[in-house]
Amino acid sequence: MRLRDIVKRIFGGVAESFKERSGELVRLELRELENAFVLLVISPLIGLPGPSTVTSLRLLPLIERELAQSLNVSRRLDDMLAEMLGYLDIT
Amino acid sequence: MRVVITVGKGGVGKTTTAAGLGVALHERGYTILIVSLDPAHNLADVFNMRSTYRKTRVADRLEILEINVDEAVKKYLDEVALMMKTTFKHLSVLNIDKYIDVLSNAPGVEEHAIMNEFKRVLEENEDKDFIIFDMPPTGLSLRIVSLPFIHREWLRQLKNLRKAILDRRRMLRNVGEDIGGAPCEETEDPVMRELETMLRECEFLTHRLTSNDTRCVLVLAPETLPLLEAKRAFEKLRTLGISVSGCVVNKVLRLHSPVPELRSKLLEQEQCLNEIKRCFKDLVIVEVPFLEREPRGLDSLKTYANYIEPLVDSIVRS
Repeated sequence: MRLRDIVKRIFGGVAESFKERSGELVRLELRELENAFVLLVISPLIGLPGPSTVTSLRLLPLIERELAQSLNVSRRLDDMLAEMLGYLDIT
Repeated sequence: MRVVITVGKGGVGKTTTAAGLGVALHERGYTILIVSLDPAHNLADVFNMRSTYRKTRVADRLEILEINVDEAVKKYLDEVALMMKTTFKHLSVLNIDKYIDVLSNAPGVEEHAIMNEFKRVLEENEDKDFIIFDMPPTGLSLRIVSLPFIHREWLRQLKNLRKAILDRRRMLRNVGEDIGGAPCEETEDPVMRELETMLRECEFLTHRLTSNDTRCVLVLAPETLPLLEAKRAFEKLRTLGISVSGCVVNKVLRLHSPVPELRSKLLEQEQCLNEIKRCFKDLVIVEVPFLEREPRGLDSLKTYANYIEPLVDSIVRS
């Protein structure tokens, strides 16, 4: 194998790994953004300051998918910090 | 179409002022609609008419309308409850959809329903030269007029957050990740479409309230508490960017030979009038004397309208 191919494969692998890594981080960020969105929408219904009840009621039927995901996240809240630190390579 | 809103403490004569302004502007040839948004309204009583909750003709080019606030709240909640029941229609199988009716007790809904009626009246009466709104007492009025501004800020923040979500979804889709069929574009996202619809509704109201064609008139009696409330209302309206063009001081006692029992009352009145002139020096201030009889009926209101002529001039000019 020529040196050029070796270098190409090394950099290709690094690029692939970076892509996977950034994909994971974007996915994590997306999940938390969706979580924050759900929390803000339902906040007047759970006793937190938020947009008006009417805004919540109008948006609620449209965020079923995000709501289900948020409930799933809330069930694993104890693991979330560990998961977050894992993503950020903090050990 | 121009809008005039009367604001003041309960019992200071907001309805009479709104009716007087309407009559004065009508006398000048304008087409007028006077609307009462006060849940405890008596606009029809002022015109010696029966309350019908429908637009009622007082004279050619002069109409009045009392909004049935309870009915507006009910109608509004019925619409929301129907939307919820349609979305979660499987609940009707178990006959538990009736529990959704509890929504009628949701806080802040009355203000929302009144604001909706305000918007509906504006949209349906663009042919009028002036729409004069007789508002509920100051506290509720300020909550109502603040609502679209507060709501707009929340909607803007939610819209920014939703944009960030759609942005991340697009990023993942572009690198071939599975996003489970979730919408990525603003045009295809129903949440974004609903946020934009609500934002448009809000901006219609905030634009209308802050435009040069909308003027507030403070109504007060020459007493300490109405004055304090008027000052707070003035500050709040100014903060929201709503123009206040004048101040009507009703029930001013002018006695040729004051009886001793009224001396301290008259002293308080003088102090209040001086304070009103100092606090609202940039506004047109008109004083209406304590009238022997409550102005009721068109002729009586025409007499009342004479006292507020300088304010009417300023509204017409603005």
